[in-house]
Amino acid sequence: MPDRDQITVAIKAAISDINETLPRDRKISADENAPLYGPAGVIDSLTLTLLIVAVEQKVEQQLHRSVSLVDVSLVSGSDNSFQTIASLADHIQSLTGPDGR
Amino acid sequence: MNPTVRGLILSDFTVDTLKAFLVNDPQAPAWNIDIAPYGQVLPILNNPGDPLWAAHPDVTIIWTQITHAIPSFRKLLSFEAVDPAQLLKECDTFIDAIINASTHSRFVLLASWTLPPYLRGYGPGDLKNPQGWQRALLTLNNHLAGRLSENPNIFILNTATWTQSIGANAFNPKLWYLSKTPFDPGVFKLAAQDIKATMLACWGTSRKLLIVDLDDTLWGGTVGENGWQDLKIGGHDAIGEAYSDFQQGLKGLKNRGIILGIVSKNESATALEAINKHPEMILKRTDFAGWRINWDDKAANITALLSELNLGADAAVFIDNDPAERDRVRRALPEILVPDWPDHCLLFPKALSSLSCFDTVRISAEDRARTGMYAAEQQRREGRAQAQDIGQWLRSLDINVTAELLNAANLPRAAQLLNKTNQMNLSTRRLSEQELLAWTETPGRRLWTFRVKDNLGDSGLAGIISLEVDGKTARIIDLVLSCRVFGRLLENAMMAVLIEQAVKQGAATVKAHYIPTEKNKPCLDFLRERSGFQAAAGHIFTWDTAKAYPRPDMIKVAYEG
Repeated sequence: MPDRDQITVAIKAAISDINETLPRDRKISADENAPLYGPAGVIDSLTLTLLIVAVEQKVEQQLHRSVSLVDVSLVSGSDNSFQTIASLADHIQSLTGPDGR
Repeated sequence: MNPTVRGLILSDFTVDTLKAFLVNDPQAPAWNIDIAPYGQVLPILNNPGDPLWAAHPDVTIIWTQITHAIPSFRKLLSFEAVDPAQLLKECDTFIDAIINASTHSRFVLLASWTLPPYLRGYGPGDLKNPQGWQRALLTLNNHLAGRLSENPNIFILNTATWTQSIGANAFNPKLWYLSKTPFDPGVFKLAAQDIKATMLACWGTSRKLLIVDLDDTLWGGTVGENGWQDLKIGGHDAIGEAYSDFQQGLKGLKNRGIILGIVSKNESATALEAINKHPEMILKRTDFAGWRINWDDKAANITALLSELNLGADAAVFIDNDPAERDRVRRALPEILVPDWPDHCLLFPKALSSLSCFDTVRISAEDRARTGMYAAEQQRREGRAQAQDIGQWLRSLDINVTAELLNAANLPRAAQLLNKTNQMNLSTRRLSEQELLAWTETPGRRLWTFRVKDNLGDSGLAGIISLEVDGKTARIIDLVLSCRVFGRLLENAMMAVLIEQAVKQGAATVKAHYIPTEKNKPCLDFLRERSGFQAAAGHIFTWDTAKAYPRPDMIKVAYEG
């Protein structure tokens, strides 16, 4: 089971890729508690979609675990897993942990 | 290069990621891009009055999915029978719309069609079956390329190279269903790189000169220590084959007009002996336009070679296997492109083939003959050094200049010269072939091309000059001369032709307005010191046509057509 630090590294690698598409003043912070998506977030829905797919790929490449971060609650906007890097790491850990997939 | 490129993207899927890669790249050029409303490709292409055309984009990027551009292709994907002629008919409708729209944009870049590899169609029989998906895709892309090949401002980008580079994740169904983006961001990143390289080529800012090191770069081993007999080139040896392929790649670049040079720390005689005598050398001494082989600093040697070839550092690329030498040259000459180079020689051919800095939109006869022209130039320099004065030297060359009005045959080379010349360039206008032709179609405007030949060789179409006559005043709009033929009074011969023509059109005064750039001071020096024109404030130079312009008598001028 991947530990939380490994998951955070994978998320930050995905963010680094996504940041290539963002202007200098809208780059996503690597601060684990900085707002990411949601009412105080810095990314729009298209960037969120790109980030979801990028994080899934990085987790698969780096941690050899398959996770699906796309679910109905996320698409509808009611999911709070993407509020920060920290909350996203928690969410992925719950999916890859003993009770997860 | 324009400071900001005005771009327009027409697509039937979400292309914000492509725009993001273009706009947020800190490297030049800067972009100002509009994205047309989603899925409105054909209506916008067919409507010259659409507000998106009002800004006359520098570049219009068209990237569609084959199922949208060719409606019958959807039927193929449902295994319905489709007449191949119907597919071509729909393809022609799409092509006609692109050709019509190409008059509203300086350049049009069209991304070819692709299909995800998991769409297996008829499986192993797909390419044989007239209804095969991949077969139809190949046919339609080939049809696009064939019909658009004669349109000088439309270029087709190969989408398959981007998707193949990204591999299994290039097509991403999740991105498609969530955001109507069919491709992984990596595909858009490669597309943005190709689009930028194409634009740089259109604007004539691609690199012209490739300077290579010798030991462990052009060949395996150190010639000063091992002797030329033990160098690794060719033969039944992985290392030797890689160096041989690398040299073959360099030879290919030379054949399409890239000038080759050598800068190496070696004994000159030893290194040249290796080039002359090693039986597996692909490159011969005559393939190189110049070299600096000694123990001096490489940056200083590169500067000297650039000066000899009349080229700026921004025209050059330097390849060296030694990271310390690369770093030294990068720091000393920041305008020169010094690509990172693989640690292992087996990767050299791939690294060379991957460079986009030499991309060009058209290869002229002058390009193919360029290295020979530089070799002839070297002979001219030697002759100049031996001659008592410039007049004696020029007479000995027996220079013949042929002036010809712009026409369909010389248009491609004239546009190439206009867009690539930086130093002897009065106004540094950058125009596509279509724009240049359209400019001359206005009454009172003329553009002459000049071909130059002497007893050492044919320099091809090396100069252009254009004139706009309004009543008694004629204005020189372009005065362009290739850096290869500087210093032979050709600019004076061109001026004599121009003033003769201005007089024929009734002009009493000929004016030249010099527009300074970072690179065209040689043109200012000519106007001030050697043109005979009167200088006035604001970089204006005039000639009173009551006086005949002195034509250099050692240059013969003939008119063609």
